Amino acid sequence: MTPPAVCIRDLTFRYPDGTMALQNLSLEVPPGARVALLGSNGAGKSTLLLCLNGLNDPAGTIEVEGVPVTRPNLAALRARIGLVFQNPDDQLFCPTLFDDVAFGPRNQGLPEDQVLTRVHDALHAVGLDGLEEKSAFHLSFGQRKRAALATVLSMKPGILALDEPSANLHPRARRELAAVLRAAGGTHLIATHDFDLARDVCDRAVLMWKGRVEAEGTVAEILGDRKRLEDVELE
Amino acid sequence: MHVPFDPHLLRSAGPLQALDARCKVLGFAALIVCSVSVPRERWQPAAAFLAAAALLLLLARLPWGPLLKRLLLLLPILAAVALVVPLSKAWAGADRVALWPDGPLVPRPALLVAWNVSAKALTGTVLALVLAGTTGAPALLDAFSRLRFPRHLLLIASFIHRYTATLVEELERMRRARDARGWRGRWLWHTPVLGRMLGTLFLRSYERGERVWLAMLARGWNGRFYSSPPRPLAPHDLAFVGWMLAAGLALRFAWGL
Repeated sequence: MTPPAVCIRDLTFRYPDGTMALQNLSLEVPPGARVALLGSNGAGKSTLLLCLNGLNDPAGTIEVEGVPVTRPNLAALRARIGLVFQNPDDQLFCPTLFDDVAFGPRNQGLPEDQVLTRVHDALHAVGLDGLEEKSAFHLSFGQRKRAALATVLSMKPGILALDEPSANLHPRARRELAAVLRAAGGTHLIATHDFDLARDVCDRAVLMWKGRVEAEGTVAEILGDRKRLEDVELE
Repeated sequence: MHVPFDPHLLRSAGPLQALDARCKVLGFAALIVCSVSVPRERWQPAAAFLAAAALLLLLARLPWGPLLKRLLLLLPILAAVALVVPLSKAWAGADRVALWPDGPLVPRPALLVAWNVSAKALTGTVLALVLAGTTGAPALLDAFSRLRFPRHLLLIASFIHRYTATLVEELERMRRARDARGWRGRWLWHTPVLGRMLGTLFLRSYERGERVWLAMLARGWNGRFYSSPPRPLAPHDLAFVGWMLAAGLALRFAWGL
């Protein structure tokens, strides 16, 4: 039997300053699902994504494609789950776009010919062919967002975890990003405030509030419940 | 917003552009080392090296405006040399020559030292500008890495290259937010605002550093950096290193040891 893409049980995480970010959160994401993580600022969406990638050390258990998120498994896990940060300037730190997109595959120990193919395919998927030698600083913000996505697509992860992918994008750049996400295969976990993006790209939604799962359902069900959205300060 | 900071500003379309970056680094380094080893008593080799640097500058076809702006950075150093060297007590009793007819008398050895220091500084700066102007920063960093320069220093240089413009943008945004609220900065007691801005910029940069580190870990970083295999060197790349070394040695020893 295929394990769930993500299985989280009783996850609790508190930041060193005492802020409780996640409280007994449990969630199961089936393989191939496209899930929008909806919630107001401070609901715990970004923290949850960091926990999935093993970048936070919470109490509770997380399994990604059946593999527990523990220190010995981190290298294998990070090849399975591609995390895209909210600010592309944090994600794009190499002198050229090529080096940024090749960074993950090289860490996976792939031979150089495969790295080249992966970089080419990933940049093609996000519509940035021919910009390999550009520095991230010379790309527009929309291009940088797509380039950040390419840096994880090149690792061919089974799961894409995206933190506010449409933040600060103008409508056209947002539509282009949504098209890229729809075309990308695998399971998606998208932390967002953007209801339109959730409708465009996702089939399920998880509503988070104060570090807990407040509700789960189809995107239409969750976004149709205005009263609940008001209760969690999203409307 | 676009900040007019571009490390490639000087990039030219001259013949030096096509050479391998490693060979350019070695060739220019050979010329600079030969140039600085010229004894301070000889003015001819220093002039010859300066002429060689000027020749390379012409070959590089760099735009004059940005180039001169960068060369202006040398002015304070040259001015300090011109002012301080003749005042040294080391020249007591030495021959004195007039700088121009009926002009001030300057000890001859001091004049030679001032000339040598200025010429070498100018030669080194022009050669560094030609190297930087004909080689993109990523290629330059890659070349230094392949020439086995300390990895961590190169990593710091790489991050500086990547994030300087981003930080300038951030500072510019803060400046506009400050000015939009009526700040004039006319009096001394206004300066703490600048201090707070710089402090904020430091904290934001520190936080960005942490986020970049997380982004590196998220893509499986294990503490090592990998790069693509080097392209094979062409005969003209090797010929350039040989030519620069030969020219450097010839100019250095043409007027004796």
